[in-house]
Amino acid sequence: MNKWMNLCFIGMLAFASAALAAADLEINTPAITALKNTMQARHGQLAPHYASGAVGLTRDGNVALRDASSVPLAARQSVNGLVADENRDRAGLYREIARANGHPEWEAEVRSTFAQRWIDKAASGWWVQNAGGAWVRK
Amino acid sequence: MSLRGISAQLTLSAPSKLDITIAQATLQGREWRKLALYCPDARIERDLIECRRGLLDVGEKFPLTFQYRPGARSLALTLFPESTERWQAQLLWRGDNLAASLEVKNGKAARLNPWLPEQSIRFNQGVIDLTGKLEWGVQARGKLDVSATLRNGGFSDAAGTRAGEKLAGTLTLQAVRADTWRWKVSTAWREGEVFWQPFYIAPGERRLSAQGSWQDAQAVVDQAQLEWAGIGTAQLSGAWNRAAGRIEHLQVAAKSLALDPLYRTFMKPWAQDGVLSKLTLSGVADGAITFKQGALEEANLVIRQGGLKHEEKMFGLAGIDASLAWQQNQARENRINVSSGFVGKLPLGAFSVRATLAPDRVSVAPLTLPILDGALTMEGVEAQRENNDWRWSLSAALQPISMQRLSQALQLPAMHGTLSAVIPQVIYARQSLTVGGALLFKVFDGAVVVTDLRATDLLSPTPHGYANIDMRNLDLDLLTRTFSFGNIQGRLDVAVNALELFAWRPVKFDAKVASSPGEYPRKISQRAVENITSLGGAGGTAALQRSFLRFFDQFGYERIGLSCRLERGMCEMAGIEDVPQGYLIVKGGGIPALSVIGYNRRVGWEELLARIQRATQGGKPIVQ
Repeated sequence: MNKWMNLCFIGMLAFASAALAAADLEINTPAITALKNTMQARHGQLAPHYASGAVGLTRDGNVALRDASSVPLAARQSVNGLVADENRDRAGLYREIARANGHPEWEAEVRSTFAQRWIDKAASGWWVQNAGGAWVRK
Repeated sequence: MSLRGISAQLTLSAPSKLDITIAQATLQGREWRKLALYCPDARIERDLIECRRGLLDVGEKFPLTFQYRPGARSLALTLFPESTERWQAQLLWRGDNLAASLEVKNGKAARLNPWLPEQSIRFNQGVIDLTGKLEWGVQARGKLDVSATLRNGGFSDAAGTRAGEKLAGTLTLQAVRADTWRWKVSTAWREGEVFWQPFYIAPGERRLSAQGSWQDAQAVVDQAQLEWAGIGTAQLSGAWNRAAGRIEHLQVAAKSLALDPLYRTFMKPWAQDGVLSKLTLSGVADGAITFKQGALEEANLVIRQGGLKHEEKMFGLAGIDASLAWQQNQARENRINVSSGFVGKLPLGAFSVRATLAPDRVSVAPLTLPILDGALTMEGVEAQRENNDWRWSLSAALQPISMQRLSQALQLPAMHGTLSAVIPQVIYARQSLTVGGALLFKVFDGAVVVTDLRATDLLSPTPHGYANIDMRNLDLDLLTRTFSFGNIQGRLDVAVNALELFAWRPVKFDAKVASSPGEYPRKISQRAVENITSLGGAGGTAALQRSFLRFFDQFGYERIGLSCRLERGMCEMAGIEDVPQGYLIVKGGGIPALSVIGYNRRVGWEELLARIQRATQGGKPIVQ
């Protein structure tokens, strides 16, 4: 199961990277590798929450707590923590990719490209934000 | 309250039948349409209108009974929404005075949803028992007495970010009106848990009792006491300006609060990532804060026997005894005494901090932090508030620390000599640290100069670091003896330019190691040759072992030089000069002389680190 999740994550990352023609989104630096590794390790913990709808993918390249009612109250803080950590790493990933391309000012474009690709590649049943910001189930 | 489109139909028969319909009713801003009351068994007499088996249709249908006595001006109304649920009200008018009572048995908490002040939150579970009495007079006189209990309560908003489960508690409220309302309330939260993003309140007992007054202009709390099991008790008083929608004044005072549960419940959730979210505290604190006209006026905190430890043991302080104070328009003196501490594997001795805290400025008296047999002294420690952020600056010096004790503490191979440093200026702002000027260290009888040192995202788990490091005239004999590398005699210069660290691991640099200029003995042992060879790749050692040179323990050399340009996980290596097979790392000189050639120009950084580790730990180099 974990292997499948990791494959899925790598697939999503690779797919997301295949966009933004001008920038090399597959560029690898130790910082990017470190971020990808921590995100990959976290993906196993987040995936059940994507599937249950507790956490969804936002249109700005982040993840968000959207309906935590299926998560026990005592665990909601840790899901909150996972979401915050994931968003921090995602922000770091977008920043590092832009920097590694020698164009830190591309960060916003990298983010929006990744945002769209994360959503396109989200598994069926996951919740994603549409262009208007409304939550829809894939 | 308003009612529109009322129509009533009375059918006098045996039994009589009364049907009342209301097109629109509004109460407290809430609106109902098409209300109906059906009474198939009505009793209409001269001084009595009674409905014994009625049905109220407000969208949902509720069985009800009522009795209205026009002469006595009294109304008794009972709703039975479910078989065990009863909502009962009695109203009695005497002249211009109203006496009302309400009793609820097994009332569903969800029925209160339309009346909740925060409409995004809904009760989804829970049962209420309530008794209430209200007396209301025209001459601004009144009395209210309510007692309620909640069992198995649950509430949530749509996203589940504000939710409670299995809640149980009690509420009593008494209020008397003589011109203004004076009230007294007492609540106890006995069971259940709440998640109110980002806070999680675990099951446990909490009590709040308060008294005050309620006027059109403001709500006043004369005195309140909050008891929180596991943390402590706080007293508070204050006034809320209802017209302006702000705190007029608020005083909170607490004694002997347990710091760790206080931090875990209320502070840790704000620090989702980074070092501030990974602390364990101990000790107790007394605190007091005062707000005036919406702004913090004064804060005081006394910590006794406090302790602080990072969960991953990055740092810790013990025996904290502190008296901290801040005031809006006045500088206040603060003191912190710490009996011991540690940073990583380095123990810290007792130290004291004396600081003056002004609203937008902090200045700390010269501070000495004992480290082993030396100390870090800091001067000119100042913080200035700039655009809602604090900018810290200081200068520091490291008084000599014996390398022997330092290496022992850091669990490194035993080193000799002393470590001292001068740190001319350090600036910290927005999680970024910049060291101005040059950082000077003395190690291995040489000098180390660190320039352009800065670090960003310091409180995050992924900080970035940058520096240029220049080491001059290091004594190779001391250095190689320390690291079991095989002996080399001579002097070495090391330059690490454009060093970039991510999460404290090097990700980029341009490093060069070269023999220092000048006259000094230059000798290299066979083991050191083997180790150097293993760093640069394979081949040389094998040749050496096969040749007659294996009979010699030491060789002379003219120069040593090796460089590594690290980028994207690969180290691009070069030596003193290029030779046909590779690059020259050690250029031989004297008799017997031996040159060492490196063959691999590109080595993975992790692999190189592993090779250095093998070489410096005295293991046998692996030659491929």
